[in-house]
Amino acid sequence: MRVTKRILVAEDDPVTARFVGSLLNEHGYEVIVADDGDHALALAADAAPDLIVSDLVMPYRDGYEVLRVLRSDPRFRAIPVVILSMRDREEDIVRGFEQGADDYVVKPFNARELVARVRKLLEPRGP
Amino acid sequence: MQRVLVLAILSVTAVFSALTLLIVAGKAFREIRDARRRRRRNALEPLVLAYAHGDARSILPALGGGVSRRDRPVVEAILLDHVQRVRGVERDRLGRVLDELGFVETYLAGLSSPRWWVRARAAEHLGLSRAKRATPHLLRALDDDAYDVRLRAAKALAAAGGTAAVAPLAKALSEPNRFATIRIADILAGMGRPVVRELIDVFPHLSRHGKLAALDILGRIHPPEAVAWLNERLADPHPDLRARAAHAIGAIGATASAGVLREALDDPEWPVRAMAAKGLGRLHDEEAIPLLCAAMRDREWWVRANSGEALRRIGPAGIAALEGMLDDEDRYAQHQACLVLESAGMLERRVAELPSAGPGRDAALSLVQRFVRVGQTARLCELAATHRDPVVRDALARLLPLTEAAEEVVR
Amino acid sequence: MTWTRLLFDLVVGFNAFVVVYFVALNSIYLALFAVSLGEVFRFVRRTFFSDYRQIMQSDMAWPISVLVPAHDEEKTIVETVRSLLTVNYGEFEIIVVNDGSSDFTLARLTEAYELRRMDRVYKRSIPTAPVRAVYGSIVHPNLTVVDKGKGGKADALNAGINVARYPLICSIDADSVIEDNALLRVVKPFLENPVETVAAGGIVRIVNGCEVRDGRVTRIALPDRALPIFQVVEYLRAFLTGRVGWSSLQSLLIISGAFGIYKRQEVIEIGGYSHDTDTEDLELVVRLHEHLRRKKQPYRVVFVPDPVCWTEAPESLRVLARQRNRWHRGLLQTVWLHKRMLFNPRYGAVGLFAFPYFAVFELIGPFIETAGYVVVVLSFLLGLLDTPFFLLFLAASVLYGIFLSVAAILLEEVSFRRYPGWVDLVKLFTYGVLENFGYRQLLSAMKVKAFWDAVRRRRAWGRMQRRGFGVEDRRRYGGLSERTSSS
Repeated sequence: MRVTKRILVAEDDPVTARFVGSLLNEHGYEVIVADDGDHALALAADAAPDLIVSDLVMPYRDGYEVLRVLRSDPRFRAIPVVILSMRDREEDIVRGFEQGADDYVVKPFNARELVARVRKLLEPRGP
Repeated sequence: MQRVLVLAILSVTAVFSALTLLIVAGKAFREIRDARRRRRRNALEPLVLAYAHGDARSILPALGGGVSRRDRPVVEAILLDHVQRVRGVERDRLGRVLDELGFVETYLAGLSSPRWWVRARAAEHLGLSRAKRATPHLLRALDDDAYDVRLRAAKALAAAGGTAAVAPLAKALSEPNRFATIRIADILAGMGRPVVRELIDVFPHLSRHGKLAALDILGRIHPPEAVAWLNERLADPHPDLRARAAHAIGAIGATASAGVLREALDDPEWPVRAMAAKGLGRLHDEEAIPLLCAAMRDREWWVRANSGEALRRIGPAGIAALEGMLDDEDRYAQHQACLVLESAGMLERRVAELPSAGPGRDAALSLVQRFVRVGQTARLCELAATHRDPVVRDALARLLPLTEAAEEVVR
Repeated sequence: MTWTRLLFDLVVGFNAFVVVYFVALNSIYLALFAVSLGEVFRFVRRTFFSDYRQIMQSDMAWPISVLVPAHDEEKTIVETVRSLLTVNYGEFEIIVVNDGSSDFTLARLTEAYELRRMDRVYKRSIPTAPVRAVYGSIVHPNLTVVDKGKGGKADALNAGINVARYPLICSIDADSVIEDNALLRVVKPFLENPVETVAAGGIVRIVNGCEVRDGRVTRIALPDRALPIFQVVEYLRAFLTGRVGWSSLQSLLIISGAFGIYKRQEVIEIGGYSHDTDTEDLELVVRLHEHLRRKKQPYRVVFVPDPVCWTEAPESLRVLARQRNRWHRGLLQTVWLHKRMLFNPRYGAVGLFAFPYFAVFELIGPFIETAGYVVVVLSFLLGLLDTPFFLLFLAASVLYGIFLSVAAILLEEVSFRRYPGWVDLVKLFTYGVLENFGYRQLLSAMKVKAFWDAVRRRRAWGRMQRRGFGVEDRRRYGGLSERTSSS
């Protein structure tokens, strides 16, 4: 049981990545950043994050495919995933949840809200 | 002659050397400046972000009292980059920094620059900073000569201006350049219900594509109070406007609109018919089922497609009607019905009942046979080869014309 | 009148003609460059990052059908499609047209994307070779694969146009490497002028020397070998100083086959791509101009001075010769097909300036240049050569050539800066200079040969055309389809 939770941020826009990284750091989380879909999966395997914040439109593998791979692998099936994307159409959001996302936040996003959602997903469910 | 040539050579050489010098010097200068800026950004960005995430009243203490002149462009870039990527408290804090450090003043001054690109950039940045006091200046900029300035001002007003900006923005939908219309439409749609009254008031004064954009916005906001007014739009002489109105009515989904939409299914213009069909699907209007079946024989593909899709959306009654269409005389209607049933998963569901003994099996057999008669067998061949249940595969193989099934197996 | 007297007169006359030609051509180049300069500056100033974000999220942005004609592309087709699937855009579909491949192109696609046969009903607006089946992907609902009998690239594109369901079509080459934001960039003109804009293209760059991973360029660099670097400089000049200029004069005649967006309805109205030439992309745009001008319909064909796509350039002389031969033959065929537009005021700026420019300077120009060398030798032998004059003239023309190349490099430096290193800059400069000492002359010679080939072929053309589709068996597919207005 890790004391400081580790969050993997999969985001190809460096500015957003820096923002989300510093935001989560500020709230006491350890952050690792992947800048494309393949890198995200590699880091998920190596670094065993406790939660993943992922963009949808990324090079090499988009967020949906990353989700699909994560959900079909028993090692990662339980990791909560929050999608953070510019795509705001109903189809995209529904598809995100259908593929196994635990939450979907649309960009431009509310920082404090994102933290609240992350925190909620990381706290253990009561007995 | 010779002298002309010599002159030509000398002048070209001179310009060439100047160009080369320009390129080399420019590149060197830019590289040094960029390297410096990168270093400063790495140092300053965490400070700015820390302020945004925290709750300190002012950023100045963290920045050591102020920002040096050389650091100003770096801090400005940091602020502008982040302010457009977030919403809420953090965004407001970043916007306040832009004001506190004097950037907003610079932008306001920039709005009076004689150069159009300076004005445009100023308007864009004022929009990003959401400074309320810029509103009167931006309103004036809506009448600027340069299209780019008008566009940026409109965008800025929508972000910063609040309700005061709605009226001029709605009027600006008549902007001749459509890109501006799209931006404004997106922003107005994002503002939601407060915009509706204004749009309806200003509607008669808008240009044709302004009206189209306004109807589009209403479709996206889908305010129930606009239904009556939209119903009247269905009588507009212009078909595009009628079509957009029908689309908006469908988006609102008020059951009271079913009647007018059913009438619109008879409109002489196909875009109106297509949108009416779509709307009836959203309304789940069962009374419209016979009309939609008739619309599946329409000459225009979009009307047929939307009608088929609408029947699917209506529910079990609509699906039953679609299955009935498989026997229709019109070939296009048959094809469309097949397509919709396939995409709705009906084919899979029925086919799965083939092994059972009872009404399910009969319904399945009947459906498959009708698909075969229409000639839409590709998916069936696929299922005959790949379905999990061997009984199903067997049954399908027997039902399908021999050559196609054999071809499928070979694949 | 003796023969020597006649020859003397001819040579003198020719020399004068060459000077006139030289002045005319370079004046046009300078004018184009000035126009391009202004346009590039203007473009850079009015482009904001937030625009692209807005287009991506807007409900009113137009959906696009991306067409990928593929023939025997088993090695790269899966990566190409993968990189297309992750392109930044809201709503779009990808239609791969398998044009009778003899290898495992279709099998690779089926496996990688779980294709299933679909009963897609569509209107066959343009006649094509028979379509065997249409496949859809279970995993990616916006991917469609059309399997058809072999018919050539134009035919494949037409089949794709038939199946496409969106109002805009984007035709690319199977081995083009598309930039992430390419669709956002090239669709902007359509959003700014939805009624008038009918076609748009962007800057195509050469990928040789760059690192490409899974269909994306991960590191930009210049090629190592000389021949591709010459082409890089040539492309910079042709795009940044050529096409930008023509586009702002509303006379853009070429949009790359490697990446171009068109309004589907307009293309269908003129009958789709034609099999009549070796360069179907050039011919399509010229035909669009002709058709719309004749209809007197206001329209715009736009060039977006923004890099959109990377393509492979020939590394060997033999392949380069074949490519340029095909381009030039295609140019000749197109000019011949649309010769009624030449100097015809009915076709506005296109008929009066752009099209004649191509006819005169691109087609006849190489002859003049090559003949020029012959005449110089002749003059020398006849003792007519005014050596100082000749040397000066040579210096002037070389310097002008260098000037234009350097000007293009400058434009690149101030706007897009895709080649960041100093070594790259020096390389570009060096080759921009060296270009004039052999490369350009080589290209001219290739064009002369192409002319003769085209003339010879045309006599056989009539016989071959009767055989229907599949005439051009040796037509290349993906890549190596770029066009420049170089000289």
